[in-house]
Amino acid sequence: MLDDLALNGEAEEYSYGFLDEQTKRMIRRAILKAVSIPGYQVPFGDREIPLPPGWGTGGIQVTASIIGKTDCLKVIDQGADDTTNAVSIRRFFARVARVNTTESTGEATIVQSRHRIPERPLQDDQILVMQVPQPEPLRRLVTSEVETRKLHAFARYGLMQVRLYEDIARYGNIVMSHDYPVRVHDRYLASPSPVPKFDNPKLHRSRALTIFGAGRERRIYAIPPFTDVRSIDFDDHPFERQKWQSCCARCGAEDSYLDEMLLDDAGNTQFVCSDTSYCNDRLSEGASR
Amino acid sequence: MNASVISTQFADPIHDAQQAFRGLLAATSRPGTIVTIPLPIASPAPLSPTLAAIGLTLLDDATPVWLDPILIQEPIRQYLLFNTGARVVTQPDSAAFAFFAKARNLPDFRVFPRGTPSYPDRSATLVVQVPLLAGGRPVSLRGPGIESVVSVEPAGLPDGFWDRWNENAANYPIGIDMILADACSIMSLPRTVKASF
Ligand SMILES: [Zn+2]
Repeated sequence: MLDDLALNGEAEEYSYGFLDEQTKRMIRRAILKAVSIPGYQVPFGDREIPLPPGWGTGGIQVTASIIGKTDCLKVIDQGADDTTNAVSIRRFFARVARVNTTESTGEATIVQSRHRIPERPLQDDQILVMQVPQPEPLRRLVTSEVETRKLHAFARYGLMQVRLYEDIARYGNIVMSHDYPVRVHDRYLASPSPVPKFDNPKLHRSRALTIFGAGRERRIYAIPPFTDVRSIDFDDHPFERQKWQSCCARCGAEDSYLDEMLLDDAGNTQFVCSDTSYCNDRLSEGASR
Repeated sequence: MNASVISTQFADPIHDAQQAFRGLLAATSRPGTIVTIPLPIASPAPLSPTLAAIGLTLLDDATPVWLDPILIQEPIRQYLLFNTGARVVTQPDSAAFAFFAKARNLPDFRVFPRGTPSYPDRSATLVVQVPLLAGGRPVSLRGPGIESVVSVEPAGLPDGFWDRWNENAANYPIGIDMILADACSIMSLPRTVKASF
């Protein structure tokens, strides 16, 4: 998809960071308001943004608006650095913003991600940019934008509580495993983006700034460092992360999100870290010990 | 003022604006932190280079700007229009940004847009020159972006400033946001910040 981004000839002229300065300024102002109102979705302008809709435009717009020559960018898709999309976004920014890229979470100044938050806790000098397909956590309950805006305006989030409690009544627990809604700074209900709920606690009082970008919906929201982020739960049913019986078959991690991998035609499987950088770091640390 | 000052941009407009924005982002993400930003080579006095840098970074034709009685001068109006496209407005309630050469010129914050319950982002950002971001009366700040508490001491703020600030914060999520600036650095006060003193 990113090959379609009009970066054909080597000699072709493009703006630094691909977006023009006017578009960046508009997004930058939205980002500052987003940081000032944690969890609130800031609509950003009606200016046409020259990126095709589809994978990652919200994340790309945010990254393009914040990135500078001294940054080091990591891009992950589903926890992996080596998927087609992650590789092409990294190449895109290496070219249009002339930045260094990395697969190591610790080396990155900006981490752009879809579907996972890295296992290694992010630090003060890092910014996490999350790609968001649907920024509105209430959208699955209320289709009207006017209505959801009203609910946010008065923090009337009872509907979401009811929706989650229906799960408990029906199945004995909350079934929602991804995009599990959070309350930010005890005020706005927000979508953590489609990360597994395993990742939700990483947002709570994180040392790093997190910026969420939704391209099609033209919304930006943010969670500043050291901000309270609570997953919605109930006194009799406290929030729980996913758990596994086994540890990672490669690195032995017991604290990471695991993907089930098919081993052979007989249907045998094993569980390995979804965060490949974390898994590789643990393996090389183990090897050097 | 001559034409060369009117046309003075950042030395490296694209990259300096990016660095200045990252400074603003770092400051807003971590209220109370003093952050240095790139400055233009010159600015039309009494608009300080720091205020000019913030203007060059954030203003354009979509952001009406209000100037305090010291700054509301033709060369400054021309400078902002020429370099950013921003219009100077005389009605504070139509401003997206308001620039102050002196903190004592700060009026009641409520004369500026503070957003609405549905759109709290439609609120003004007040950019305020202070003599120094240190050396004033110490105040403790708490809120998102602050690990537990941070002590700050910007100088030159008028009496009662922090009471007024807390009234602004008490109306969260509605409110104005503020950026304090001295000769080369900034400190951000998003509306989430609460002061104790
Ligand atoms: Zn592993």
